[in-house]
Amino acid sequence: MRRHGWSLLLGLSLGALTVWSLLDTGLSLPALLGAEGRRQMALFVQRLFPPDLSPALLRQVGQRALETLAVSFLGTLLAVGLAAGLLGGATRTLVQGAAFAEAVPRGKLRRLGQALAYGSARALLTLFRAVPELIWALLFILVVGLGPFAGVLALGVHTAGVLGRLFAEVLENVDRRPCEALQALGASRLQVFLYGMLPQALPELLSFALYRWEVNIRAAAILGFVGAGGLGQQLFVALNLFLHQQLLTLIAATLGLVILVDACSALLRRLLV
Amino acid sequence: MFVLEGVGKTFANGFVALRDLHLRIAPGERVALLGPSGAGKTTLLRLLNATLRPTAGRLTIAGLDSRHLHGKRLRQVRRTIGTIYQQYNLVPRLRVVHNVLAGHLGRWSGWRAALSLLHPLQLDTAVAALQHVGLADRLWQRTDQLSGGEQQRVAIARVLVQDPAVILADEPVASLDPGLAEGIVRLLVDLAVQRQKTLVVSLHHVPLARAYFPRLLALQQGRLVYDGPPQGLSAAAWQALFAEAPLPAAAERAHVRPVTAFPL
Repeated sequence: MRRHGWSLLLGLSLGALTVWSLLDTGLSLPALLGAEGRRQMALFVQRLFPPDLSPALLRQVGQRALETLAVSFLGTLLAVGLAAGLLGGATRTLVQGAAFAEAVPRGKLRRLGQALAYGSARALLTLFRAVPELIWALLFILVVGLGPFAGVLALGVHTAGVLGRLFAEVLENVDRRPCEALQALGASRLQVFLYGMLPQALPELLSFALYRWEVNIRAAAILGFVGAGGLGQQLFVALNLFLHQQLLTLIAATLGLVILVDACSALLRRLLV
Repeated sequence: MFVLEGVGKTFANGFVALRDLHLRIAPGERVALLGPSGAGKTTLLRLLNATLRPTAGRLTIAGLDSRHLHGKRLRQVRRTIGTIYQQYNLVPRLRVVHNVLAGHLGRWSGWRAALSLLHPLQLDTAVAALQHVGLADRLWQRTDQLSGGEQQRVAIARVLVQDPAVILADEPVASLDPGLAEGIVRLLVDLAVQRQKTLVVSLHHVPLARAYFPRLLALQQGRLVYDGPPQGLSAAAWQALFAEAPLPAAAERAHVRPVTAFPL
């Protein structure tokens, strides 16, 4: 009966949230599908054609697409590095060391130090991922100037927050029995990590990193809107200057890039995981 | 080698696994540990290999009080004790060679350990150990491709590389089919005799224990109920010991992998 009550409450809350959201966002079907809306859509699609395929533009788009690819790849790589650097603090089992069986009784100070290391590593990761890539990009543009470098830093920091937490949770949930066996034969904490935890976790870690690369190629295409390089910068210009025929070429390039990275990621996953 | 004076173990959840154990195991002794599931055999072995600490009484390992072992000293003591588990407890995704060379970890630095994963070091020791257990041709195979019996022999090869003074084995044959069981027990006993190692093995199988071990210990509900030669108790008495309804073994098996889903 109690379960029933909770379900009812949950259902009502969801309903209330939906109604409030609808009212608050000024959602209006007539605006989208009414005569005026339909006319605007048709006009927009019409203006996209024919796409601009002049060699000069194609060369420029190709360059920008490669830049976007590089930003997404380096950003993900930087994220993996940052996340790995914080793992020692963010993984509970690694912080506590002897946690594979039971914590060795130790001084209050030591326990406080561990709690502090774990808490601050986790807090840092939360900060990294709570701030969106675009905000990080704006901040890094202030530091390193306009261009793809700011994009790499922005993607790296935000993604490190996401991957750091996922990596830590994968490592905390590996089978502990092989780790306990290694600890019992005299292995140090680092050795238990290298021989026990990492081999078990590696497929999942790689899988998460590849997935985030797929996410980051889309994010990298947007980063140009705030001046952090890549296809986005040109998309932004084309949109604002009503260069609709260039727009179609750019959208097609973005689509092609996303499909390419998804395919690469799938291939790597099959080879490595 | 081991001296237990009134040793007890109560887990954090209140489960009393062992109570008031008085016991002495001399270097070079061969001891079989018997008792129904939940009697405390696994807990006792995890106390002896310094994975757990007693919550009551005093346990000394090679003359050192286990309560005062920390950090480097603790690692040094653990290095001298090799353990074999019911579920082998090897790392399934590693190649056999790395699981066997893991026996060196107590002596290796972190750097050597990391390097060895890329380019196996002291390879001859792994080859010799695998030859001893009859698996020399499996050196480069992934461990999870091996059968249960083969994995248990890889675990024994790891102990050979570790070269400890004591070998502990927790139900080493319980997961194997009976035809393989005697071969594994004989391998362990021969090893202990040839290399003068202390051997403590927990077993479910009373005839095997009686055949291969001069000293038997029987646990029941966390208490030591027999300590002596196999002749000291009749077959009927052993039957009665195991007829006791098994206790819930929840606390002993509490370290089983939890199942979790990851949000993307």
